[in-house]
Amino acid sequence: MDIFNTVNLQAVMANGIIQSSLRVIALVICCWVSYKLLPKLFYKISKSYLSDHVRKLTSKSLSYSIFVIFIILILNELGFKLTALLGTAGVVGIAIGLASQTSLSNIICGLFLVSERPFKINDIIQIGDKTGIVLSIDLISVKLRTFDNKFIRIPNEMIFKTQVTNITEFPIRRLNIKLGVAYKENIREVIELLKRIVDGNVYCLDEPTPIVFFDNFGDSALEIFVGVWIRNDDYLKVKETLLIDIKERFDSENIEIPFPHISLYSGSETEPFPITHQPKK
Amino acid sequence: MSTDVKNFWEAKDVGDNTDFSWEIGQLKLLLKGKETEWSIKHILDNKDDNLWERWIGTNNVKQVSLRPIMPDLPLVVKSSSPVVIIPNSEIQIYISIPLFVKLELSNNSIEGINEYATIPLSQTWFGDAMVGSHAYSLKTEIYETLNEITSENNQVICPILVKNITKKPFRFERLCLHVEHLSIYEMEQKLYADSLKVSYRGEEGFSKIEYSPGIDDFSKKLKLIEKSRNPIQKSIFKRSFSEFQNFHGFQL
Repeated sequence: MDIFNTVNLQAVMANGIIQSSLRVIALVICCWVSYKLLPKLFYKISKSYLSDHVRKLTSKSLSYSIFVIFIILILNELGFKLTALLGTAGVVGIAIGLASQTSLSNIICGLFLVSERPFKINDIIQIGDKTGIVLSIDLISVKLRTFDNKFIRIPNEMIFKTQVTNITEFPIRRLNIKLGVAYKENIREVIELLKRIVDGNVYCLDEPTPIVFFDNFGDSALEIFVGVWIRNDDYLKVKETLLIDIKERFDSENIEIPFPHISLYSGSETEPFPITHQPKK
Repeated sequence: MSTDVKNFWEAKDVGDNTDFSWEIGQLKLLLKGKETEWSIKHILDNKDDNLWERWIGTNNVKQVSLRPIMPDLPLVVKSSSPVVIIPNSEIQIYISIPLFVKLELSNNSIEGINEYATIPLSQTWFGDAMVGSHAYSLKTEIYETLNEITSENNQVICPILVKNITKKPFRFERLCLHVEHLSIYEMEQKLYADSLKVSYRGEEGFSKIEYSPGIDDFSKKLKLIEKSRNPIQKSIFKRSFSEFQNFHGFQL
């Protein structure tokens, strides 16, 4: 009888362990499927009414939440006492919290960035001396791809504290060019010529009206400011073609673009310092 | 190439070693037909900096034609001299729109046709710098009778009736023409666009634009030769007139 009872007890125990194991396995499968599917499903169905970065951030938060919930359920199923576990978790949480202040700060800054929306995915932004295309806006950091194809990860806290320039927020922007011509040149004629060059460039927008004016008496040149409005997409085309146009037209009109120089005068205010060039013997 | 409008837009047979060239406005389009491929090149404003483009697998295409089409962006028409329209009055004007052309293959199943401008058009921005729209700019004379216009074969005559339905005089300096909604018609060797009736409803309001096919007086004689890029119902409301705010402030 004893033997029978022991066998029966062992069978019951084995049966309980098998049932518990099956439940844990089922939970793990459910967790894995939900962890993989639900965030993706959310990302897909929210396409029409949420911005890209909010969708990405929410789907990531969703996947973390699913993971945590299922871990708790599995531990519970394995017989761990959750009250004791949560108590321990509280103590461990404080320790982790103290150790991960920066991460938490990044997460909070990330949430502010999401609500403020200073930029979105695919915008071109400038942070400090770094410029690039926004690849992703995550809970802890923002990822950029630079124009020479480098990957930059910038912590959200840094972005929150630094001045961010969003270059592509508006569809058009002004390209500013400062150039100098020699003091001997007729400044009015040079300005008129620059206006004609800008008019002739098909990528420069007619409106808003381009700005060309005499800016300053420089150390070595009369400084002129040229501001032309362009579409963001045309930035490189305009920069390349306009600078070449200016150089070519200045060369053909014999307008001098001086390099930085200093004239020294000896004895007279107007006469230049006498310098003679002697060919090599 | 002949400047005869009918012949110009007609389809041409393409065979082995057949060369074609079309000249319209400031565009020169060259086509060299070979057994299995074509080579196409365009020269605009005498700037010969485009490469020959090879079109492969043209065995089944026997004919090619050049078709007129409206520009691919709205056109901001600037009057050379401002016109003031007093309240509750209207003015009938005519303007010439420079055409684009597209190369079309006889085989209708082939899409992806090339389009070319017939004159270099400068670009502009219509509306606010934050939410405006990209457009071509056209400085032109505004004609008040049809006889005044001497249109070239790369130009389409567009009749526009501008109405001022506000209580203030309207200074008409520039008009944004949404040419994507205009069809092209042919009559007596000239090309015409749909007629427009534009009602000015104040600086902040959207203008009501009504479209009617061709010119009213000759509507029966007009032959439709190209449908609009983006056909619409009879009327739409869009921002059409602008007093652009210039950006005087600057930062070096």
